[in-house]
Amino acid sequence: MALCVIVIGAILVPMIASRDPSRIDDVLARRLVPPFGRDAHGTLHMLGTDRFGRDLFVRMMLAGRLSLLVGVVGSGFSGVVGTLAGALAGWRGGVLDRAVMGLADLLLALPRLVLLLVGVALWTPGLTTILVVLIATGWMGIARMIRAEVVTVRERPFVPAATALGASPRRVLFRHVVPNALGPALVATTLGVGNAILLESGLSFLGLGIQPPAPSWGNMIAGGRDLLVTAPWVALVPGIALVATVLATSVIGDAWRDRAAGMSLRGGPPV
Amino acid sequence: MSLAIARVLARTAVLYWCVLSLTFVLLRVAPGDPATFLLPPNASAADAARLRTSLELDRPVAAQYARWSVRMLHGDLGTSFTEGRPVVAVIGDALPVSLALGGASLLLSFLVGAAVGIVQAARRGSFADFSITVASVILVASPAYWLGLAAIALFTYVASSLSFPLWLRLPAVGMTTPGADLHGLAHLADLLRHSILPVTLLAAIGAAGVARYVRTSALDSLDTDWIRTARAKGLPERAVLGRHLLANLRAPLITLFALALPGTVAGSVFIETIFGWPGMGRLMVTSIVARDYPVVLGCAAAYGFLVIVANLVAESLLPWADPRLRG
Repeated sequence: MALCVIVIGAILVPMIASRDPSRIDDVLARRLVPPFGRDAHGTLHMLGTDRFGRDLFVRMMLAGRLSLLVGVVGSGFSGVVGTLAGALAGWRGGVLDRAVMGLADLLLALPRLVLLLVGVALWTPGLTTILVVLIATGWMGIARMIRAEVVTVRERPFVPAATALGASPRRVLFRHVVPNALGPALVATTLGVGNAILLESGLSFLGLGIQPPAPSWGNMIAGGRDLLVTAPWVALVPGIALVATVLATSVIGDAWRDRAAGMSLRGGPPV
Repeated sequence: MSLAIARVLARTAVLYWCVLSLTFVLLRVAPGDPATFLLPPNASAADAARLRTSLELDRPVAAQYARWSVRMLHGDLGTSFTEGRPVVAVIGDALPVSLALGGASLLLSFLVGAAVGIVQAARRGSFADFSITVASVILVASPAYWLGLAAIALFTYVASSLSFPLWLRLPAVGMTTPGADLHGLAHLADLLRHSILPVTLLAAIGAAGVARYVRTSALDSLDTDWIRTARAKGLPERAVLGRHLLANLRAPLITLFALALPGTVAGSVFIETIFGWPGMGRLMVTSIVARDYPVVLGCAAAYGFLVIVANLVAESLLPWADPRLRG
């Protein structure tokens, strides 16, 4: 519910904003207005303005577009890559299985944040780098889950039955085996969106992610850091939307997981 | 028995070697000439040429790898060019700070989190349970650096405008008060005072996660026969929860603790940056910004080492914590 509000807000608010949120004009009249305050021109700023007089609420929603994009694409594609890797590894077994799982173990041996930092160190910081590195470090968990499921489902009777009916191995894999294995992976991907958003904002906060003036929740917070003593809202306000978004995705993911667990205990969807 | 240990150690060593090799691969896969990564920006062309021949960058990759392996085995991770010291020395200075920060906050988070989780399970459905759950969920969803900034704002800005007493105005930056040349107990007291905010923050976030886990596990265990027996025996509720429930949770908690340590040390990047503590996390960020790649890759190697050691410790502690797994 809350997630819908945020998504809609992120798309709509910058569109209906009466002034361009990135435009910097008349700085002295507008800068550092506290939340719910009016600036010298009389415009109400719901959450205040930053040091350049840019309205924080609209900018926060604009940043939401980018952060949500990174979160959804980053986590979604990790899910896809992980599913493909895990399915192939579980289905074929043998050398491919050991190679893929070995690579996953290798990447899991380093904390994800460290891998992200090394990634942005070696490539130029920016949107593409963040997306690539997020995907490259996020596929492992899902791959392991899918592989375990595929290995179990492989033994079920409908697999040789489908093969006997003349289905090619690839068709059996993708039309029959994988859909049965997808449940936990989808939950993990949903929970991963929140995690991806947190990681991206963390990197942007450190200056290694999305670069200003493009707004991201992380770099907005960083921008307000030295104003903390005089105008704390500049740093603290962008965090509100961040927390709300991550919270919403976690709640959705948790609820889905509980429902799925309940279903598997009962043996299937409610009849 | 010793054969099993030898096999585990061998497998671990191989994994670690692969992690180290990953740093070798990454440097060569990244766009640009590896020599430009390993040299300070103001190096001359002659320096670059000399480095290239010493690293054998014109030789086949296999020869480069052999050379690099020999250096690794000698413990040579290169030289930091912002400091001119060996990378191993630079990391050696920063690692204890991060380990202390991470270890202290993790310990606190597990102690507090386990207690809170058990209390929540005992008072399931009450207002206390509900409010703690809400607080935990919000803490876990919040970025650590944002909470850090909020805490600093609270204890400096708000503290001065609302006139908190002097002892409550906690220092926001640094490990020790700069310029004060304190020794012995006074130094320790100063250090402790500077660590209140960062440790509490990290511990609070960690405790939120632990409390959620403990609550779920405890709720599962509360229905079991042996808990019912303990109650039927007439044990006071505190003994039931404290002795029997906790004993069952000990094994997974110890494993979680060992496995969470590298993650906490890595995650302390943000807290160290905000509070200005000279630990591994901040070292990694400053060396990335300064393009001091030997240090960056050295830090990655150090983190990999931590993770592997932590996993080993967790594996070996498990039989001790859970007698059912022995023998």
